[in-house]
Amino acid sequence: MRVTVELPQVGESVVEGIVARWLKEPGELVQMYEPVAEIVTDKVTMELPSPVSGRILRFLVEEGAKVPVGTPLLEIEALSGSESELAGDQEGDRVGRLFEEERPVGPTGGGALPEEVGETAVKGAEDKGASGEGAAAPVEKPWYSPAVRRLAREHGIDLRTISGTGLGGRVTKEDVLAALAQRGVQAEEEHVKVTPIRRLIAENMQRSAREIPQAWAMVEVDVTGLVLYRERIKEEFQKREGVKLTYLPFVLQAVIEGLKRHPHLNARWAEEHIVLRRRIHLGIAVATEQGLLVPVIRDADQLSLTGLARAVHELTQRARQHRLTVEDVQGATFTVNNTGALGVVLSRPLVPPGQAGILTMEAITQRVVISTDRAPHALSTDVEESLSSLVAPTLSVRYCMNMCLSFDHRILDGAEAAAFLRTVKHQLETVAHE
Amino acid sequence: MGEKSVIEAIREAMREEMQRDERVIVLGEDVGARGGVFLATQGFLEEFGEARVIDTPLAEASIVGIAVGAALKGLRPIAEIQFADFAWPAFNQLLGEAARACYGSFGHVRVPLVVRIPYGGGIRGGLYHSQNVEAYFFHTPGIKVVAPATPYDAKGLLKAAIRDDNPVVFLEHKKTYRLVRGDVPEEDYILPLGKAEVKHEGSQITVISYGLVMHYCLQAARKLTSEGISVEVVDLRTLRPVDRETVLGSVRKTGKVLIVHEDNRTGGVGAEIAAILAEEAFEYLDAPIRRLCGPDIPTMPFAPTLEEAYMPTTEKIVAALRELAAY
Amino acid sequence: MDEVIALGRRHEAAGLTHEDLLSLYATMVLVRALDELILVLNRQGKAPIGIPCRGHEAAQMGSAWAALKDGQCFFFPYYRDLALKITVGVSAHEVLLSFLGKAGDPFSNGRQFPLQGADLRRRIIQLSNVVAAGLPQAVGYAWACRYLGEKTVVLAYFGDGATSEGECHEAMNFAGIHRVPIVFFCENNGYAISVPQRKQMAIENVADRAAAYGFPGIVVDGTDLFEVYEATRRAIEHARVNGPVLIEAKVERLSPHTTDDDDRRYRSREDLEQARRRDPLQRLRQYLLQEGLLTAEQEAAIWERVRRQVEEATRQAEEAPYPSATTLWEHVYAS
Repeated sequence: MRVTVELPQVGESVVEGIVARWLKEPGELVQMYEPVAEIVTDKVTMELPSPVSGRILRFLVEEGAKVPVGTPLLEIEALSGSESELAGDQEGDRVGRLFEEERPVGPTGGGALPEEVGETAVKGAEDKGASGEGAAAPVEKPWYSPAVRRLAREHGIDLRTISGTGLGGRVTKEDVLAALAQRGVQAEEEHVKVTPIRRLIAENMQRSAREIPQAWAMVEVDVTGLVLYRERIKEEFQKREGVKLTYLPFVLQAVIEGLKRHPHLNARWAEEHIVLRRRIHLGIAVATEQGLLVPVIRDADQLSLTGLARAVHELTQRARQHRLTVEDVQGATFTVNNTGALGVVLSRPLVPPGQAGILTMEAITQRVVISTDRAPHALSTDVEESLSSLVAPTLSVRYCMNMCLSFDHRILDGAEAAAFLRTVKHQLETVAHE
Repeated sequence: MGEKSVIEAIREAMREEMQRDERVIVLGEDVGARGGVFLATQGFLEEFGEARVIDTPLAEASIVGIAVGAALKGLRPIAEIQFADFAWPAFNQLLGEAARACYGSFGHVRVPLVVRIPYGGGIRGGLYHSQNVEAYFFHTPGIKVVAPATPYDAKGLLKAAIRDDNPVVFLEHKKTYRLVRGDVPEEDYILPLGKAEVKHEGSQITVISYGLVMHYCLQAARKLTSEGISVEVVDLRTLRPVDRETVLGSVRKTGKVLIVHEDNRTGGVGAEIAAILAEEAFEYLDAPIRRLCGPDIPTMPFAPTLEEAYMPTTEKIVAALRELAAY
Repeated sequence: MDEVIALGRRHEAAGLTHEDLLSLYATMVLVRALDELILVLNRQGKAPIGIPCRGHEAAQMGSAWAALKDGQCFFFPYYRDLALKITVGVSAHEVLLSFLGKAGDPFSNGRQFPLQGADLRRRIIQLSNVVAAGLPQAVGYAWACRYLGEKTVVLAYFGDGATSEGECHEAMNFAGIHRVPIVFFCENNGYAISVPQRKQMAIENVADRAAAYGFPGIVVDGTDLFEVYEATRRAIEHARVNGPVLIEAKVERLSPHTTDDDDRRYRSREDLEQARRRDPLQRLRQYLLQEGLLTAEQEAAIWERVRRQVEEATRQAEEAPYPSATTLWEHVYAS
């Protein structure tokens, strides 16, 4: 029985998906629940399982196509049984040679010695015979065969630029292939196919740039205390909790505090009103070989430092192993990006559509700073004393980390953005004092 | 390795299988003392005895019917229908009974039967010694249909058919019996049913064929190759199940296809292949699918002019290929 | 029951014991009860087709009993052989599964018309509805048994209509030439659906044709259990050594052809009344009562047991599942 498999509804907001690639071929056998295709929806890749055991009949959609939910994707013939395969190998003249009769000898043959038909015995092609029929010329207007159209699509060729050598001036497959070969020789550029993830990222970023008026602010954070603190506890933490303690959980805690005090950063623009969200779901950007993925820690404010560390670890693992589900990447209310892990000290991220802001944590560097611990002496009447206190400031080496905030200027202004940054900065600078 | 004709290869296949397995028996008209009207079973009566080589009454329905009964009991009978033109009375037992026995008994019984049928024309046989009957068998689920064109294929496929637990119709083009010769290994080998073979590789046009006219296709392919048109010839070898993979693979490579068979055009094997190609290789077609077949006339007439007009010939195939190449 | 003539201990002469008779009687009662039930199920719309064997019981059961006693027989029955199949061991439950087209039907798992396909445990093959197509197969099967060194005798069953088919002739011809160990058993009830014998053949007895094929043919009263039993016993012995025997059992068809047939269109009620006088169940019952082999209490007990058996079998069969659609593709080919 023929079964049609459609693109299922896999998440609330999912309305379409891209068939990234087929994992089987037409004609191949497939087991029930075996994955038949990779589907990309909203930045996550999922595998589409076969609903039946059977044989793949045909695909109804090509690789790379974006289709709405409910679109029929492939047909499977639910069947069982298999055909056994026996091997044979070949040598010699297995094809055999055809011989001709000298004279007719009746239906069972017997009698005349056969004479081999030579190549030269083939006469010229004059009569079409009762069984052939004339080939029709293709229709008048530019007509492209399925093979020609496929090649043009795959290689991005404008068929109007190719002259045809086929019947009636038709552009043939060979004509297209020849044009491609020519092109390859002259090309200064290389065309790289856009992957489904790349396409999704491109769309999101384009939307962000187009719809959101973005402003940007930055603070420097003295994370010396944090660095030393982490250094002190990280081994015991790892042993006790089984996961690494990075800087990110600390940053997330600080961000959570910031979002609580400055709720306009945990909001979204809804034209008629600004929607302040009560719950805090933090998106954490993870770089993978396929592209940037942003899994979400839901209700991050309910988690302890340990909880945050675990969540970060788990989501990062799954992201890198392509095991994120649609739920994993939905619903972030604010995003944090650890650009510092890439060695960058300054960046200008794009606000994800639907959020108010995105914060980066840049690379932690060591800097020489003029210590402001000691309050400057009050200016004294004694000029020498004042001067000496001025020319002998305390220099120290501190760990510094920049944090950059891009924000939706429709929702908030620089003042509030700065306030948020100050809160975050303060949290991080006072970590060791808890 | 020796050179053999198709009929010699067929005879060898049966002899080897009968030596190998006592359950293999042969029955049909004239198969015993005469050795078969085409000498397919020459020497068998002497070697295997009357119990295993049975001269049946002139009654095709029961030739197959009794073979079905014997197969139900576990023998592996090879029933010979003397000419395809006389197979019609046997259709009931072959298509109505044997093809459905396994399915209709939920697998409780099986029918490991081979029915060998000489078929085809070009031998001045007239309306009742030239018929092609493959389309009727081809259409029926539950049987397998084999149509080799070379001695090597005939021997390997017949052995496989005898060892297969399903009813197999083994179609032998009678004109190839003595007039196609080729290399056949001495050692035991079988060829899998359901696998086509590319007999001539090419890149521009695929020709799909079987039986005698496959050789005409090869001649045409060689001629065109010498003219710079690269033609690939696919010999189906087994009609049911058809080897979709090889057929589709070839057409996806070349983009142009000509299907050639001697059988009547309408509803022939070519029609089904064309449908499969249209369904599953549409995106790869650079020209309409073409068929070159026997016309819709009740078989080849006796007079030579009429027979020649009917038959697909090398010349007709060359002409069709040239047209396709130019498309 | 004017026709019943007391002949002394006929059953003993035939080689049947008292136990045999009671068993056969109980089985015949079960057959009759199932026959009636299937008609009811058909009228209720639950069984698409009912194929009655009323009137044929003694012919089927007497021959089957002889084959069972022989112990080395195989059966190629035809569509009306309900009584035969029950005699050789198909249970009431299985019969009903088959008529309802349920999974677990031993012949074809619900793919074929009732009791058709192959039940090898009961040594039955019946592949199709094409009349007489099974006869060459039966001959080939029997021939193959001998080829393999077995002593098996095949019993091939068919009606009067089947003898007109070319394949019947071809089967008998081949069997005669090669002295195949087969008993051809014709249940002649005088009708092929509506076509009476005089339009089916120019002769009085199907058995007369056997001579044309070079083997013996005998006519028996198909409503007489003992005559059938004895004739079959001897035929099996003969067939094993000397080749085919054709037994023509004259029976009455006491029901229409199937539940799809209305025989009032072509059969007079007088004719039917006349036929009912030869009801084999009544005949056997009369014999048992007259010979003191069956008491009223025993009879009542048998009917009661059968009634419960059939009720239980019906309930179970109605509850049984149909074959799953996922099995549709299985066994198109043997692997």
